[in-house]
Amino acid sequence: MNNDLPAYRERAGLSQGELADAVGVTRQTINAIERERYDPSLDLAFALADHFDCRIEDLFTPDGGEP
Amino acid sequence: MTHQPTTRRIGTRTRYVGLWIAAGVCYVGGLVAGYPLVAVAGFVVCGVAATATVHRADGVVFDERDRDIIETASANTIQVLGIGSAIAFPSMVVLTALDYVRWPPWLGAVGFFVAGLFALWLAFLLIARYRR
Repeated sequence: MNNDLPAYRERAGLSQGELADAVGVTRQTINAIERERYDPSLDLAFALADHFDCRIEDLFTPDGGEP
Repeated sequence: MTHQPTTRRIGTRTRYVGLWIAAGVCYVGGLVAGYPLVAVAGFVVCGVAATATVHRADGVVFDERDRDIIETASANTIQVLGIGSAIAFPSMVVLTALDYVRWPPWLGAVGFFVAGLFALWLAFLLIARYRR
């Protein structure tokens, strides 16, 4: 899964730890998602999209898709 | 400061793992040294401290990624144990039957343990399947 999370996070001026606190996960999980080493659950994907006030498809795209 | 919660969480995770390692060291060390009650007491104290560390933490200490990692490790363990047992035990039975080796008594206990483990795994598999 590809994602545009780093861009959204930096645009919001948040550190990985601050975003992690906001969506209720650990900083390591946000880091793993950004490095595309971990695909979040649907619950977490919804929480991230909700936090950035965007759609899940804006944040995540399947491998090979346009982010 | 924005970095404090993150630093505290990393500390909590490290402390949790460290306490469980200490529990294991206490247990094995106590048994080897010939103090079984001290071994169990040390294990219990460290285990309770580890559990309390997580429960008393402010933020999230372990999350869905940790669960995913544990599930992957558990699945791999069961797979390796299953393949290893499927090769080792029939091979030993054949070698024993052909009189190449003598069946060691401890291997029977290991066999029962593995069988029990897979019976438990099968039970949980059926429960998970039923719920989905």
